[in-house]
Amino acid sequence: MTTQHAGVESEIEAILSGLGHRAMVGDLYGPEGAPYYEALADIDTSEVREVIGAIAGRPGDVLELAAGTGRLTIPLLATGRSVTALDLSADMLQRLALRLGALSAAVRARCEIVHRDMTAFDLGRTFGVIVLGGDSITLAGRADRRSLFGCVRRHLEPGGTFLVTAPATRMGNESAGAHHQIMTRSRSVLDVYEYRTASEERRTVVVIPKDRSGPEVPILTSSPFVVNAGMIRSEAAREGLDLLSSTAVRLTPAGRGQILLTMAAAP
Amino acid sequence: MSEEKRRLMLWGVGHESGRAERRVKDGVTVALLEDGAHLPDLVARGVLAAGSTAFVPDGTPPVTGPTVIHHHGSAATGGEELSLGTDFYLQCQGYGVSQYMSVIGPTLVRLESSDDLEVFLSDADTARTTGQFPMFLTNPLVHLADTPALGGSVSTAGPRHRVHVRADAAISTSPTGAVLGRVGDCLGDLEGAWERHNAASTHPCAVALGAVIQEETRVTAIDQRPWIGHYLNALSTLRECHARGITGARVSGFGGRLSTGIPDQHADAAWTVAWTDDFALLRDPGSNRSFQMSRTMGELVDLLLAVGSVEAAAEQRPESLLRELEAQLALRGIVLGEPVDNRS
Repeated sequence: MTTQHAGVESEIEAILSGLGHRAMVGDLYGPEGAPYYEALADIDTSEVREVIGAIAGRPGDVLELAAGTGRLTIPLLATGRSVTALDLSADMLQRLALRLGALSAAVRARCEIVHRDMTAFDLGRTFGVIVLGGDSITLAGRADRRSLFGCVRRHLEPGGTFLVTAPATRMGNESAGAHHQIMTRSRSVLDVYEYRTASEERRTVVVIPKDRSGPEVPILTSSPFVVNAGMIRSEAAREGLDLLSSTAVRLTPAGRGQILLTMAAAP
Repeated sequence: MSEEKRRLMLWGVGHESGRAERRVKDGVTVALLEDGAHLPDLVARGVLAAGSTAFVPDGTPPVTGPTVIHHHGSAATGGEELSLGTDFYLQCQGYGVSQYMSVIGPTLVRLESSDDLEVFLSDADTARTTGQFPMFLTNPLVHLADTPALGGSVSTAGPRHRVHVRADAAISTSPTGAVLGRVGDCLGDLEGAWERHNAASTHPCAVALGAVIQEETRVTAIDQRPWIGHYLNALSTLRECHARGITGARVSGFGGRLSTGIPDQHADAAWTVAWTDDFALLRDPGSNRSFQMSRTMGELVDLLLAVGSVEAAAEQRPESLLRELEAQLALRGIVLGEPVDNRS
């Protein structure tokens, strides 16, 4: 369920005030946030179809940036590809490793986990396909995105493809916010709040369990940058990555528009 | 479902319940061509005739004889989409990735590799032992491709019912199938090749997955799972349940039986018994007809299906009760083990 309304920030402040010392503020991508991130990712099948479809017919091993807990990694492995899953968060990669443990030895053998920063890495090899999904490009600021595109270009095989998803538009009404309620697979409910003010180059995402009866209530935050697919396309082009195609992602969470950009290194 | 969509699903699945005898007089029932340039030759050789349906790429010139339907895209490989006009889209996806995908419309799930087969078998084994079926495969919009090669009925599996014509002119019954011939061959040539492939196999159809899965691997998998045909029927039953808004149904023989106290034998693959807390559902996949009944009646039916006869069942239930059940089923036109008359 999603509601759009002004005053999301005030609502969060009221929640924090009501919780008092029970509020435990943490990073959504850190150790305290990883289980909740995984719960959200577990039910999110958006972009999987489009990414799987985009890599069909494009040969080579896959490098997945910001792999997280494996929302795209596992389906990519299911296509029979070898996948290098890279992420900055050791907690996320630990959870990915647990998920891989439930798969067959043959599938596990095709996955390499790499603990690196997606904006500055050197793996000493190239890949046929590099994937950056989940709108994770929004986790990097302008300078870091420039560095990321450089890393991507250096790690692409000749003829290789870079797939990146990004929001279709900047977050709508700058003074409003959004509140989604999401039921996880374990049937717990998470409140997800997002807001941004016009002057900020980032938006704020806050995840709070609906059940706040415990002695400690996690308040998990992240601050992705406000970018859209058009900006990513332009920035990538300046770093030598040319657009091949642009595809609207169907069935995005909370109806948010998302675009899958397919790019290749400029000659 | 419109006739053209039925035929497209026959092309994809390789089976169409209740229509085994309703094939066209001459030519194949349905063909899908990757290249429309092959259409005239297929007509000239009698592979396509009046009554046949040919799905051809947009822009293919019409011919006299078969019904020609233009399609855009493809459903030959996972990740593709085939459309008929602007109001019907068929997604195609590989089996291994399907559990990670949301269902957005009619979907054909293909086994495209031995990895896909491994996942399919793992799901089947899980269903057999726990009663938990793969969720995506019980969605009414999702259809498993090439079921004749997976232990399903072969009554509509051969080239007289469906063919796939590749761009390089090779012909099979499926995009993943062993080649039966080429454009220029007549239907009799294709049928002969299909029969020869299957004569050499202990578990036909040996053609539909012949290009992507080793025959020995496929046959071993079916040998180890004599109930696999019943699993496919159970999936159909659960899809129908979901289409009717019935959730939480269990299928007897998978993770337990509706009737208690009998050996865990696999039931007659021609019928399935599903049940909820409130009622039972007897389904004949051959005719696609279902019969709702009380749990009590369903338990007796399940017993009869498991042991095979009233005489054998009478060792556990009063024979008079079983005879009365037989009479009630007969009133509905049901003779357990025989296909329900599909004239309607």
